[in-house]
Formats: sequence, C-alpha cells, structure tokens
Amino acid sequence: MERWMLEGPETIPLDQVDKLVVKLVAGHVDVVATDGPPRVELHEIEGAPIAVTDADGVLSVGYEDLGGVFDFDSTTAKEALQGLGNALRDLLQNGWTSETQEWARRFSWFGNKRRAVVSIAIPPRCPVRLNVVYASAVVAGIDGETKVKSVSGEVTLDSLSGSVDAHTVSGDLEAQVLDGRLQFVTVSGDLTVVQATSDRIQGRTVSGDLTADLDLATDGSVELSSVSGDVTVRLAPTTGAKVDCVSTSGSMTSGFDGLAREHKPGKRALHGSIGDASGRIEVRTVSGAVHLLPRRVPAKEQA
Amino acid sequence: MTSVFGHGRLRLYLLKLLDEEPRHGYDMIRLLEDRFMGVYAPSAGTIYPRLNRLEEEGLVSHEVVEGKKVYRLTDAGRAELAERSDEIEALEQDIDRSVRDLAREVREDVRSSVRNLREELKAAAREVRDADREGRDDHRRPWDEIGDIPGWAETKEAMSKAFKESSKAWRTEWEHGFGGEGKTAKRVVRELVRNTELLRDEVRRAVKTHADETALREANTTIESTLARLRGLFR
Repeated sequence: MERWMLEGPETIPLDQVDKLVVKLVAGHVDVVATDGPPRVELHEIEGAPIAVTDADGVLSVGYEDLGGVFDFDSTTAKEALQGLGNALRDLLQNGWTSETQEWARRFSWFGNKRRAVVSIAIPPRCPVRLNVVYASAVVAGIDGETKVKSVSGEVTLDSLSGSVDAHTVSGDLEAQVLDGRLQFVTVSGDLTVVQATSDRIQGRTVSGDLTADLDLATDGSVELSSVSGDVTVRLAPTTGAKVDCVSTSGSMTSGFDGLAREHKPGKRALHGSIGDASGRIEVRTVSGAVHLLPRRVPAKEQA
Repeated sequence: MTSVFGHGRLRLYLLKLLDEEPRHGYDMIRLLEDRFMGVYAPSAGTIYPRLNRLEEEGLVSHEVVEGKKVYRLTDAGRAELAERSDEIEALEQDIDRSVRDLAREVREDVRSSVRNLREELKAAAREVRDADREGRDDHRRPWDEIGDIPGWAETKEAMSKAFKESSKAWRTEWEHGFGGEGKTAKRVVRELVRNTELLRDEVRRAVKTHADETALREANTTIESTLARLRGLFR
C-alpha cells in the first residue's frame, strides 16, 4: 500500500486504479475518466491534510478520520450525539480518557475548517464512491457504478454509463447523457437530467423539483415522487409506456394524446398508454405539479 | 465529455507524433512524457500494442534499423490524420489543460444544458396547459356539484401517508447516511418530523371540522408554508 499526506497543491501520478473512494468536507472534487495515467491533483487546501492511499488498486482520497461520518451503520445520529455528550461529561469529571479521545477523534473534523479542491483522473471502468458534506462534485465519463452521498454539495454528472445512486439533503443533482440506472433521493435538492437513455430512473424528494428529458428504453421505467416539488418529464413523441400519474392537489398537464384524466377534490390523475405501452411512467405528488411533455422535433429535422 | 485520452485519442496522438518524423517506440514514450510534463508516463505495454494495431490497420509501417523498429506513417495514415485535423487541434489544446480545467468545462456544459432544458420545459408546459384549459373547462366544476365529496378521505390518507413515508425515509437516510453530521442532522430530522406531525394534525382537523373547499385550500396553504419552512432549513 502506498500513502501520501498532502498539505499543499500537488499532483500524484498513479499506476493503476480499480476503484475510487473520496471523503471530503468542504470544497470541490472532480472525477474525470481518462485513458491516460490515473492521477490525483490537489489544487487548494485549508485545514487538515488530505490522505491519498493506493491499496491494491483501491484509491482513497480524503480525510481518513471521516469514516464514522458516512459509515454509520449501527450508530444512529441520536446515539452519536448522546455519546458525544457523555464523552464531554466524562472529560469534565474524569479528565482525558481513551473513550474521550475516541470521541474527540470522531468529531474533530466537525467545526474545523476543512476545505479542499481535488481533481482525480481514473480509468472509465472504475466504480466511484463519493462522500461529501458541503463539497460540490463533478463526475464525468465513468462506466463503472457511481455512488454519491452529499449533504448540501451540488452534484454534476456527465456521460456516465454505469448505474448512479445519489443521496443528498439539499444538494442539487444535474446530469446529462446518462445511460445507466439512476436513483436520486433528496429532501430539497432539485434533480435535472438531460439526454438520458437510462432504462430506469427513480427520484424521490420532499420539496425539490424533478425534471427529466429522456429517451425511454423499451420496457424502461421512470418512477418519480415528490411532496411539493414539481415533476416534469419530457419524452420522445414516439415513446411507448403505460402512464400512471397521481397527485393530491398538484396540477397535471400532458402533451400526449390518449391519456384519461381524473380531476376531483383530493385526487388528480393521468392514466393510460402512449405508443406501444412497453415502458412505464409512474409519478406521485401531493401538491407538486406534474407535466408530461413530448419532445418537439427540431424544425430543421422536420424540413 | 472529452478526457484527454478518451475515445481513441492516444491512437490519434501516436499518428501525429509519427507524422512529425519516423520514430522508435521508445522515442514516442519519452516524447509523450515530455509533452505531459512528466504527468503521463506511458508504459511500453500501452504503446506497443497500439502501434501493432495501427500497423494491422495499415496506417503505419515499420522497418528495423540497427536492431530497433522504426515506425513511419503510411499514406493511409496521413489521410486519416488529414481527415481528423480538427480532432488533433482539439487534442493538443486539451493536452495543455489539467483535469480541473476539463471538469470545469464539463460543469459549465451540464449547467447550460440544464438551464436550457428548464426554460424549454417551462415554456412547453405553459403551452400545453393553455391548450388544455381551452378544451377542458368541464373539469372546473363547482364543488357543490360533486356531491359526496369523495376526495376528502383520499386527501387525508394520501397526505398523511406521503408525509409519514417521506419523514420515515428521511429519518433513516439521515441516521444511516449522515449520522455523524451531529447537531445539524438531529435538528433537521427533528424539524422535519415536527413539521410533518403539525401538518398531519392540520389536515386531520380540517377534514373533521369543515369539509369544504375552504378547508382544502387551508390545508394546502399549510402544506406549502410548512414546506417553505423546511426549504428554509436546508437552503
């Protein structure tokens, strides 16, 4: 295993990368596919140094003590806070014990300024896992699976053919040219997908808007749900799908013919089939508006 | 997306190096290293198979000089290069840039696509909605004509279910995903849950006490303001 601790701008060339894991707090991270040599470029850094490790092709970039932040499987936030409270009380009563040290280590990043701007070039086939708190992220050209967790950082994706699984609290997800399955879960982040050919798109939000422009694969599916965010789906006019859109009070518009509408207090719906009905479009909202639109063929192509 | 050596661009660059003059494979490795300021150190295992393939395609040929293979461009290779001169130019520009510059371009590109799409869709939705309205006034029947107000039970159920689900899902998300965010996480979850409960109570009350249009409107207003509060928390 090779390991570098970076405290200032530096470029680390690497031989081989099979998998990438990034853990950052604030700042920005780029992950770009390359046929050339993999490398890590650190452009800016404030606060603690960044660790870059290469363990048999698994490239890790970020703060090593951040593990507990994203990998809480058994410990809930509440338990973590209680633990911290206990540790502080312990510190006051008993002084510096090993338990207090453990908690201090786990929470040391919190409140510290930790900011880094990092660019990483890796082979396209690599799976990518990004965990960021406030940092924004760009991922481009990757064929491997991409998993992103972000609290408030904005996530930008371009030309990904692997599956994408993104979770944010308030961070927006903007993507173009996606070919793999997409799942996005957020509280208030917006989802915008341009030119997707994914066979499955799933989006879940409370107040964010979900917007997708896509060529639905035969037997592909789109499942979007929101409480108050608007849902807009634009499809090729030749799309074939069973359509099932239901909202409590959100308005419904459809530019496709042949869909039955329901409009009564407490329920608005758009049901039916378009084209050969091979795919599936399912939208659920409470108060968010639902728009189902056919893509217009550009004038020059019509001529 | 254009990574410096994505999509067969290394192959193209090898052709370009051979266009300058005939070279040994080793020369080409060294030249690539120089041009990439040491960042790119291609191995023999990367370069030679590509040269072999180029030779199979008839774009380069080799002769052995003093025991070493010297590669040169064939007419077919020159034709291919001439045809792809635009790509070469773009490639040379890219070579001078770092990953950061490439990513910045990607970001700007995606951002502008997203902005365009949003505007287009907004306009399209407006158009469709206007066309809808003209033909579908019958949907806007007054409430008293509807009769038994079948919507209320559904409203109540749908809202409370949706909120219960999203609140539960998000509590899980937070605990598993961002647990260590500490105070912020807990505060957000607590606020989310509290607001959800408030909203549910509000809807229940509205449904119980005055099942009319005003009540539904009030319920909706409550939802909207609650969500505005939630949004305020995160943004």
